[in-house]
Amino acid sequence: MVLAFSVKGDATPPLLDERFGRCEAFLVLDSESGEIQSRKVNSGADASSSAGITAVQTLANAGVQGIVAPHLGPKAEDARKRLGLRVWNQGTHTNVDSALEAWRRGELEEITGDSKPKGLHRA
Amino acid sequence: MEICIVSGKGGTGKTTLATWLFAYHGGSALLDCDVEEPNAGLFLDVGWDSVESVNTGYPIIDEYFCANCGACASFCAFGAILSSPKATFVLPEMCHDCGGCGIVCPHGAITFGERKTGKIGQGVVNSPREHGGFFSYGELNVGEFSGVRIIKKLRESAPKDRLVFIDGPPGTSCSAVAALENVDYAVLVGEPTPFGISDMAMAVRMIRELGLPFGVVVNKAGIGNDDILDYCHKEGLTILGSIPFKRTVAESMAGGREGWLEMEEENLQIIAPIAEALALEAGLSQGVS
Repeated sequence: MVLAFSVKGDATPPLLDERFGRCEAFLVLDSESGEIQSRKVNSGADASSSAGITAVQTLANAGVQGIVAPHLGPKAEDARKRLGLRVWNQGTHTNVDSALEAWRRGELEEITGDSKPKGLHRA
Repeated sequence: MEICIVSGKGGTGKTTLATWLFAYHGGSALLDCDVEEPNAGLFLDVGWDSVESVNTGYPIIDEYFCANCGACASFCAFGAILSSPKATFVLPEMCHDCGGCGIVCPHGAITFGERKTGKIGQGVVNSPREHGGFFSYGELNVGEFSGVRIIKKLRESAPKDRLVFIDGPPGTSCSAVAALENVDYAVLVGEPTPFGISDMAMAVRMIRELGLPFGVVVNKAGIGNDDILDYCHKEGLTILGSIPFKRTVAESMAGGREGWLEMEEENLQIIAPIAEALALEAGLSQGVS
């Protein structure tokens, strides 16, 4: 499966971003081989609105079939559902390698229900 | 002649200036183009002629013909259409009704529907001063992204036979540009505060890019220092006058229609030199009342 992750910085292994729509970049890889297909800088990060849905469209254009991400807002969640992308919540994982391993073992929660706006819960 | 009042920073005094100039010039026209928060009507007694809803178009995708090729989604500059090989769907409230998606669709799958985006009211002004002038306002529905369609409609239905004042929206977005486009003269309301000056600089850029002649009115004069005058001087801006930072001005505005009526004489004295300077700068041919 072609999987996408929200990433930030340039560490190895790449660190997961805490945001989806406004993350720094998307890492697109082949889930079986782990081979990285592309790292796309997120051009929608500064958008005044619709960053989440723009991100979903960007990933759909890249042939992504599944997304491992932090919480998706209601519009992004609706968009990815309608466009046929699957999404798993990255949970407490902090880098791509550990999240990918957990995904392979089926340990990540797949999101199937409706989403409510949640923000980053930092307050 | 059309004169548009803008500010950059919100809450600077556009509506104060617009309604006072409108009151000063009996029989003129006032368009409230701050469609996200129209408030000029609070100061007027209007005999309403009509309140009509404003519609905007949006694409409807016929699933029978749609091949999920994504041409429409690629074309859309506003993110109103999303597409993958599995599905193509529309987000109507993002649509700016440009019609482009319908043109690029190779399968004839797109038609256009209409949906309400807001409303426009217009009427004749009875008070203050037995005005007899024309007033119209636009109001954007909650949740809508853009007031531009409503503002354009307001401008289209403005009377052509008299002086028109346009109470513009704050900021320098598409809405402000739609209110300003092609007017004869712009008045930039500034206030002597750091935010006032910094947002004013953005408005100056916008007005200059639009190639419009303009002048400045300083509102709440006295609330801050002279930095705003230094800024105007440095930029070579024409200052038409100022409205003082006085409790009576604030009370007048807080009192709406009644507030104006109570302070009418004083307000007219404050606005008169500004109106005269504006008439001179803008080249108003008619006499002032």
